[in-house]
Amino acid sequence: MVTRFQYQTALTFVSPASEHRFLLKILPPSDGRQRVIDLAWSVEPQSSLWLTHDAFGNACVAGFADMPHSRFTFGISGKADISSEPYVLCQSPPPVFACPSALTRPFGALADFYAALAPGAPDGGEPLRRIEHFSHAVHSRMEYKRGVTDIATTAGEVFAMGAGVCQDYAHILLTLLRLDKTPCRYVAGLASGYGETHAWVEAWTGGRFYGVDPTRDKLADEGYIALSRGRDFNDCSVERGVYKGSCKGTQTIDLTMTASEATR
Amino acid sequence: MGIISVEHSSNLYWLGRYAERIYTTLYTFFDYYDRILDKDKDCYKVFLGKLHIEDKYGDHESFIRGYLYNDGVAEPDTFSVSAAFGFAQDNALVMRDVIGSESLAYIILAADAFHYSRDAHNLRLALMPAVDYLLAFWGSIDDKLASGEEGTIIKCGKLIERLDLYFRFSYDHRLIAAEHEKLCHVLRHIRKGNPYFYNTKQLSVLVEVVGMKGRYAERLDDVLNCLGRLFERQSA
Amino acid sequence: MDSIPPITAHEINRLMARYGVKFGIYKNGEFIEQLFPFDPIPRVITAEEFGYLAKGLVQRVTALNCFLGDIYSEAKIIKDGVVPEEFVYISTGYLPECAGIAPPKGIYSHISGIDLVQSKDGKWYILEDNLRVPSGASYPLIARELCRIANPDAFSQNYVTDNRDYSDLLNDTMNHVNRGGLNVILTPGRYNAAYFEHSYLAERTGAPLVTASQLMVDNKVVYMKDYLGGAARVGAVYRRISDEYLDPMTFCRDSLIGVPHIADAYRSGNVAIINAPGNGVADDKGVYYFVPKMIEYYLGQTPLLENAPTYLPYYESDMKYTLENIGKLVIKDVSEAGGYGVVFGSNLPPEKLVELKELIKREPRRFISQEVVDFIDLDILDEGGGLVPRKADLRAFVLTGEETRVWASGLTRFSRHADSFIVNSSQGGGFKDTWVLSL
Repeated sequence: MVTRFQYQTALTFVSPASEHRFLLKILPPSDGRQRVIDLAWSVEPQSSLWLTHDAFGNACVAGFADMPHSRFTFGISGKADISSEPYVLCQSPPPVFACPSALTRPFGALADFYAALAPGAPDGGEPLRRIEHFSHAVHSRMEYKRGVTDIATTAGEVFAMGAGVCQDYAHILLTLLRLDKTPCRYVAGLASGYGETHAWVEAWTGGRFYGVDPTRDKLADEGYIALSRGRDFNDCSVERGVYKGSCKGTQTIDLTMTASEATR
Repeated sequence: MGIISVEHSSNLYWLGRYAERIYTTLYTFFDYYDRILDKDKDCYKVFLGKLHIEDKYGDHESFIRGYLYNDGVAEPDTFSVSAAFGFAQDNALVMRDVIGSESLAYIILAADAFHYSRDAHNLRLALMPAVDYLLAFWGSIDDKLASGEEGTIIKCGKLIERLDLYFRFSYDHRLIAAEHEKLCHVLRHIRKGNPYFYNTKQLSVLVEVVGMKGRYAERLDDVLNCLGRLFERQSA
Repeated sequence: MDSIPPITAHEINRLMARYGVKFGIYKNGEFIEQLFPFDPIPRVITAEEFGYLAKGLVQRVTALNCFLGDIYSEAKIIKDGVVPEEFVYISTGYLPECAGIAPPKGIYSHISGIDLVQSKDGKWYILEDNLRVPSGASYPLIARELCRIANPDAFSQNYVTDNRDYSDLLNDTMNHVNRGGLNVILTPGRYNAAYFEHSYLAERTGAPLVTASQLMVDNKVVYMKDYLGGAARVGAVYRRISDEYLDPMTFCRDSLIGVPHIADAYRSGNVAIINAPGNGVADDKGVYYFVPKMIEYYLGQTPLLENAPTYLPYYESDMKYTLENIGKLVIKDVSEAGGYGVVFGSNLPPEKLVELKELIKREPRRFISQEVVDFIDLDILDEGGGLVPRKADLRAFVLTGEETRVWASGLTRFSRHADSFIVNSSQGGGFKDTWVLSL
């Protein structure tokens, strides 16, 4: 299915920022599940921009804006053809996707949760069922709530609170799957019906990375466009920046996704 | 010499200023100290007035301890000699790779000698080594940074501080003219586009006041102001 | 050697104060600089002994460099079952951000600080490898300079290899991997414990000492900014800040001492970072156990220098041995450094031993246990001028440029307390000059 997407973020600063260095992971890859047909992107203001890749193969826009500015915007728009099959082929995932990362360490209650859950998880046959089982458990256990967590909240902490947002759901699922010896990765991207950037998980089994969304308790279908992938949120921030000046003020995000044509 | 960063250029400039502040205020202090001995116990108040420092000392004895060593002062006085040594050392320590360990050592030696003098009965004698080391520091700087831009920047700092203090203490106009001449000589080496290229407007105020040959008191604020802003970026 | 040089610590310490030879520590949140106590009696290593040590150290560092190159590419040593995966990918020193990057000339550890001790029977053991930002070379370097001033006779009467070529070795090392442009030394700043070292090495090598704000990256190239608004290309950065703070765009996002986008420049091959980021995976106390195996695996050689006898509770038999003998072993937490996280079983009361055993059983990967090597005492002068024995180790500096060489000196650190084995400067240890005899 061909989907049009348009995504823009505007940051405002309480007082002007200068010597602003940034790294944006906003360029959707063509990866077999999604094929990017058109892509336009913009960053304002900027003194220098260049394209690069991170260690996980994500395309990035890097650059800086030296002159003082009180507003910083970046965005993408384009068209992508998204397959109805919710997976990406991959022969051997990097070993780190099977190891706990900084935000997905299996602590206390979360480790116990896994221990209680694992015996009842479907084994053999369709490995995807087992993954969905964990995803469903996360979805049932957690309450979706904004403002109770931030970008540094670990899976263990958010599990103890019992509430969080999509990235927290993803972190918990990653922790469980890694305890279950399933290599998996964090995906940051866009999802239709979701007014901001979204996060979900891709779990590896049988040579495929399956997209699973614990927040909505479903597979990542045609309504999902991936922007970047990594061990956890730290590898996939849409925007990283350092600058001189005051703290960040507000952030506004505009996102629209419309299915425009059937798959050719 | 190598490439000079913004931070290093500023450290050099302020190292020059603080090293000079210690040297000239100590010498000026000695003049007043001499007068305190048998003539005018309260003349320290004049000294403080020239530096725009409030008299929180009360009497000449506390003044001597407090102004030199911060002794008996609740809040460390940022105008004290002790504080100036602290600032000079801070700026020198981060300049080891530029001025060399040898030059840095003279600042450390001067500061140590200064702090040793604290317990001496005869302050002027005890302070002499500190002054000697400061002079050795300048000798070492001259030797190491003779013709480079680094040398020019540190000398700018030194001469600006010296003129600032000479004006404050109403030094003889011939001495001031001589220091002004040295400064102009240094300034001639700095090209346009360099942040240490003088601001012509400020320089002309300086030239004008120096030309008055004395009676500086009436233009004191002007001239101190123009010295402080001599390297301010000129609006086109 | 004819005699102990007749100098007092006082003279040298005075000279050290003169040149601002200090190191900083934080006490109750306040930064304090203090002298690194120097003992004037040198440690003496004969030419023959040094030749043997140097061979062993070169061998070890060569294997460690091979290991790093392997781990960040094909990881054959894991596939071949020599090092278990668990000791690599979950190590905090392993940086997936560095996977697939080939550093200039394939060198990861340019400056390696290898800690050794000599046991009472004269045998040397490797205690620890430091492949990230090993510090300390500046102290014996300037101490030698000052000792030669204070006590010239000691050097005219003995055949001591001059160690003042360290800056040449360092320059060769930097120049070898430089990608075009300046060599610079990157410091976190004035309030770092080793700031003296940073500034002194900058002075001696002629490489500018910079903080992050003096560097910038544009289009994957690192530049040093000058005060005239210009910028000069940088080809090699000898960084004295740790991996996690190196680049807020890639690692710890709120680092103020790092250079944004430097990892991108490095990944693109436009700058050498000395030492390479990600080396922590090879100097981990757990991976230490495997270094002799690496030497066999990569070089096909028998290790010339041995590790202190070490057990990995990760392996069942070693777990058993550790639990049974915990009272005579030293237990080390692999994630700690600087002499912290080291516990001597013999110092613990029974209830603490039980606790420790439980902890080891729960987290076997987190600990190693070692036999306590009864290492030799070296005499130091006490305050009254008398000789007293103290535990001492040796940090050897191994520099890898076109070839791998061992600096003919080293940092001999000693414990200041009679019953202590801990020699770290951060815990009050002192240091000695290390003489390598030339005859």
